[in-house]
Amino acid sequence: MTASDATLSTKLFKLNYGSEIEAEIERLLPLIDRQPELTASFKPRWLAIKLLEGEPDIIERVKTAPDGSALLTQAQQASARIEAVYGDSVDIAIADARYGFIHGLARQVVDTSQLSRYSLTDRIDRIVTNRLLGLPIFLVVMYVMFKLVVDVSAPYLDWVDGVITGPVTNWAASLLNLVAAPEWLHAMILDGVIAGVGGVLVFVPGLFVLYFFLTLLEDSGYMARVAFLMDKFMSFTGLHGKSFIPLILGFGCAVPAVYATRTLENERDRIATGLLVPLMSCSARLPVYVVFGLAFFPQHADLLITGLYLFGIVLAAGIGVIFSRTLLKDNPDSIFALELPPYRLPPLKGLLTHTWAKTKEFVQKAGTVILAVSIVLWFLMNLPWGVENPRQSLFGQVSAAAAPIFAPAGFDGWEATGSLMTGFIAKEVVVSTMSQIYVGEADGEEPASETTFGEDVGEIIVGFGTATIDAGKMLVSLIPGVNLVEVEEEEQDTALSAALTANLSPLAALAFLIFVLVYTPCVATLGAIKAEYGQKWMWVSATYQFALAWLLAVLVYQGGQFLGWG
Amino acid sequence: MLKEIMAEFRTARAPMCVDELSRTLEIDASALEGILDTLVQRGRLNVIDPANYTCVSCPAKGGCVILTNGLQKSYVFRG
Repeated sequence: MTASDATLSTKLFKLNYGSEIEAEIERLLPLIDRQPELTASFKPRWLAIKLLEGEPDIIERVKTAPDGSALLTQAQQASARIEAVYGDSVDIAIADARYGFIHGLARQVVDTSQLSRYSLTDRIDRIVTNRLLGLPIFLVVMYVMFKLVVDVSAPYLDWVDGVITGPVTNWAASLLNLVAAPEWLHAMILDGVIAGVGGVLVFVPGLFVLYFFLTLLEDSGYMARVAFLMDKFMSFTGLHGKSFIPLILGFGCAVPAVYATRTLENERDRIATGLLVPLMSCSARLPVYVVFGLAFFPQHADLLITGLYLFGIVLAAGIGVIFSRTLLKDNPDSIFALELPPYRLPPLKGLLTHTWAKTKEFVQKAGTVILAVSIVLWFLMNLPWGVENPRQSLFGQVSAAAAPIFAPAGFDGWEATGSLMTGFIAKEVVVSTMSQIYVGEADGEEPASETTFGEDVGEIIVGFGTATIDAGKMLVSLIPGVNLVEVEEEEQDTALSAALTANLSPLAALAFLIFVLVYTPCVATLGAIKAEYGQKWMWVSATYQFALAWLLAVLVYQGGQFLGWG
Repeated sequence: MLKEIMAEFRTARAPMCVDELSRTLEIDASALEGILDTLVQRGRLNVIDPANYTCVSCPAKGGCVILTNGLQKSYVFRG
């Protein structure tokens, strides 16, 4: 075929829209031919099709032509006749005919016999998004991820803890001595800032590992599959299936997750999902889980953390059922099709860049919000000025006054209550406060040993090397049948975990963890809920989560005691 | 073609993957995207495309890469 032949064929080509539509086009053509103003600008057949489709711009143009209204009346009657035959609007019938022709033509001229119908992505998806296998695979992926987070980061966690409580504290003390800082500033920096901020920074290695694996799952394309997979699970709760996507985002931070509910169709779904987002364990809660997991359940910390994450999902589904039948009912189901990206092996550089971006956010938070809270908290723990026992301080007295509320849940100490109160600001602050209360006090009692700067640097480098070797051993030990880790190495206590085990029973610790998972979201999340859904829903979120958290914590503690676990 | 796609949406009892729809109807994935966009233009489907969302007001946008990687374009049947 030559180029001129192709041009000629194109000119002669006329798509057949089917006998009914073609008949109506033929009826309209004589009327259009009598309109020279229109035929000067448009080809008659094209104009007839556009009138049948009800194209608004063309209708406006025809209205201005002489006898245009008569032509429009005829076109509307023609459209009605076609719709009666097809049972659908004309524009759909016409578009259907066009795509039908294109599809038929493509099948005739494109040879797909050499192409595999199923790509590698399709073959993986057949297993990963399988109705029966999809959920167990997701649970295994979650477990492996938290196992890696806990086991691989544990040696680095001990290392950072050692660096902060050792060399960093020594350097700060030396510097304060050098500038002849007053005693109160000494105490504020060492017992307030270093204990508070340092208590949270200890978890940077764990969060780095968590963010690394979350980024790996996102960038590989698996996270989009999880959202798709869980859509099926969420549908039965009465929520829109797509609600799971913001819920998944809640694993990172509840604030963007609340904003992500904008991708849902109607307000009812947005509000219901926004109220459930805080039940997902955000990364700020991970330090609390890790501290308590390693302190109270060192052999099963990974299982405990995975369990808490899954409990959040199941709880959200259960509350979703209640919401969809009470507060936010009467919503029609809407089905949807989701595009899934192909699987890909993310480049290491990109993975590390994304992981660092998230970790940096956490470190910045530690350097701003948590630093500020630590300083304020230190003052509150030392007011009235000169108070010896923190229990007698302003903070201690307020915490102690509120503590009886938690007596049925087993953690009615002023320390735990005070930590939960400051946790309203940000969930990481729970650990930071505990660190200030327990470790800050302990630091005051046991002054750091005298070392030189060179010895400290050497200790840091050697410690990092040892942590890396231990993390490597942990990683290799994850292979079934391989164990390079000595049992005694797994049972090293930090100062905070030692203090916690001395003050709480394992059952009370579990109840405390359930409370932290469920209770009132942090102020940033409440702000996002207010911004998105209004003040009323912010109060609903704050109140129902506190009540639910208290109820569940009491159930866990009292139930455990009843079963003789206490 | 459009009728078959809408029939799939009407009869589906669970969310669908666009690739799966493409295989079921034996329509090339890129052609299907065009058809879905046509149905969006005709008001039969709503499209939710994260690319259209800006995170200007989100205080956590700096640390959030999930929004760009975790959310995918989806087509919702309007019934």
